[in-house]
Amino acid sequence: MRRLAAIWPPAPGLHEGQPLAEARAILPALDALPADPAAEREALEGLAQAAMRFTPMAAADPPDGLWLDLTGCAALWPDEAAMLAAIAAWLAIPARLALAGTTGTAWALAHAPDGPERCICSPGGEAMALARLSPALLRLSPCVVAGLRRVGLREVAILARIPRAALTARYGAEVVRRLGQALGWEEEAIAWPPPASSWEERLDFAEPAATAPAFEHALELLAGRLCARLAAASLGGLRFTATFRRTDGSTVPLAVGTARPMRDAPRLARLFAMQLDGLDPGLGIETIRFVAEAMENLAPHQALLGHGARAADLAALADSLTVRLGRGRLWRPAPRASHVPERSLGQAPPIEVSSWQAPATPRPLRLLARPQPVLVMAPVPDSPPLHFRWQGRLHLVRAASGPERIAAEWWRDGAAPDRLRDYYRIETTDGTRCWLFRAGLHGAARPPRWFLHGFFA
Amino acid sequence: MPRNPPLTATALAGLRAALPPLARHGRLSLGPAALDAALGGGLALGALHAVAETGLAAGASGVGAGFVACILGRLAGPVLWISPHADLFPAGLIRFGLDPARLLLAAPADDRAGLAAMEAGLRAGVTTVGEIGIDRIAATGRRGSAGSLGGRRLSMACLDQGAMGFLLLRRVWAGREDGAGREDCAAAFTRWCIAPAPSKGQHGEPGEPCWHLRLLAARGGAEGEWLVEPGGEDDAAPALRLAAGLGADAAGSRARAAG
Repeated sequence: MRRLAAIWPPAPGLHEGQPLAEARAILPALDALPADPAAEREALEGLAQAAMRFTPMAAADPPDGLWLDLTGCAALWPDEAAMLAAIAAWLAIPARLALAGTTGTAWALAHAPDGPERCICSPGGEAMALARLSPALLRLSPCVVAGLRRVGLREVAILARIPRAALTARYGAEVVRRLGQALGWEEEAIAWPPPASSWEERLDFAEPAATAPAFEHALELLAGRLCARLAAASLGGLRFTATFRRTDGSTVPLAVGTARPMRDAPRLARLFAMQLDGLDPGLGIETIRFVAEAMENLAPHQALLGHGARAADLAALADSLTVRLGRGRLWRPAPRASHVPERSLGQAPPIEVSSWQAPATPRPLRLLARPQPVLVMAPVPDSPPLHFRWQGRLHLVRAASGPERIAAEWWRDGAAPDRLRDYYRIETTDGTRCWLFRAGLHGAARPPRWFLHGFFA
Repeated sequence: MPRNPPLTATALAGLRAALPPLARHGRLSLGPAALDAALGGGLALGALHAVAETGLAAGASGVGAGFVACILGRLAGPVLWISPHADLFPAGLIRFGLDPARLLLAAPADDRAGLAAMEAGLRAGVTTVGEIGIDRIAATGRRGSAGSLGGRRLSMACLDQGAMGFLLLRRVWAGREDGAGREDCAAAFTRWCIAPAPSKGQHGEPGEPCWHLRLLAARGGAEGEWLVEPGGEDDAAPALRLAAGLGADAAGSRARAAG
């Protein structure tokens, strides 16, 4: 059954949660659109962003609220009422505004049924303001509210008089926590958006730009400015973002991650320019914001001869290849402590060098991503194969050595059925050397199976 | 009318001496004298080499990678190894003298990205190995349109930066074994075809790897074929040695006029 999620403009007889058919019976001219919670959430985030004109701390409170931390911001207006009026005028949509010293009180006053449109709670007046309100407005879960109502706790004032220990014992920590957030003895953590980086440069185009040369030039300019500031502070960034803002307000972020902290403006501009192909400028770009993140100390250096220069060159190559190939497509091999071949190899960042030791027993040069099943003729119980069939061809075995037994790691795999692998080095009559293994043992409930796992040179 | 004087042998030698050397960045001895002689004095450094491998499963057998690892083990510096299949197992490279700590592995989404990455690596002066399907070289090398990446561009990048480049061709072209013999790899300094050969292990066990190595073309060199074994883990030892007893004197080598 489809129900009403929101009604605009308000109409008599319609309410949220009402079945659509019933609403249509009341108001035949009803024009219904499907609800899109994701888009609403996004729009709310956008509204929170825009609300930063009033305070640096503005966050969305889904599904339909905004948090604004206005501490110290009222000084810009004659009084708090004037500030609320300004916010209401800016919002230009019907909204309930409440200003209070605690988050819980502000929320309750803004959501209280039949409350005033704008409501200011003076400091210290929280308990008074909440006294007659229902505990549901403390943002308690419905079952807790139902439980409170059953025993007659219908007002916050009564709730506040009960010893906290008794409340916690009966209803859990939630009631006391929410009460504390409303009355001011408990802090509430709101997920404020991260503060704007001070390592930011922006460029506003006089006319919307849409061509790659214009962007390249702008990126060079911005990178130059930012890197000059970074150099003055002896810092380097590990992540850089360039956010292109279209004329219609939508944004396109481009990001560059570097292997080691850097502040080389021409290189940075090139790394971004490599991504410009995929950029859709729409009707034109009006602003580019260029931000450096994840700062690390980077002492000024001069180009060294020999090893130092090589390492820097390699880092530069790694950055440009990472941008060119995409994330996760460039790595250093790193040994891992495991006997299982496919687990003995890990991936490390492109500039991290690990040390390797020669394996005790020969290891293949190519390891198939997934062992491939082969049909094998082999004498029981543990002789190497006489021949095997792979990819539709029969291969005769000329020489073989083994087995090398590798047991699965019980602490990871649990009781896997084929926990034992017996590996054989096989040389076929044409000279190909490959790595076969038998999973499982003869005589077990399940007959052993054979796999091809890799190739030696 | 004055006629051009006939070219004498000494004049010809003088002209040859005035030319810059073919291998502008030096040469690396591979070990066996017959091999070095066929190459014209060793494997050219700072040049592009094409290696095609065949075997039980072309595209999977490790012989080409083993051969390249033997050579790289005798050189210094980082190695960018580009493989779309990402099936290289570094622990297996140690026995050929290549320390996996030198490796930087890349797994491009397709051959086009792989070739671009290879060129970027060579332009940065880093030794680069690219595992590329042969058909891709054919498609990009022949068309010659602007922006296409062929063997010629890779070769130029090698020569400009003095970086060593290896094209590892892992797919047999239409059943032909000598993938590196195609015109597509004409820009490469040398072209090789390598196949696994039965080893000389005893007591029914596989022994040291043994390869049937064919030199299809070398600038300023000759063709030839040999049975070789890898030089081993010690990087002071030569890269390769001839498998004893079999074709040790390069009997199959067919001399060709050099230069």
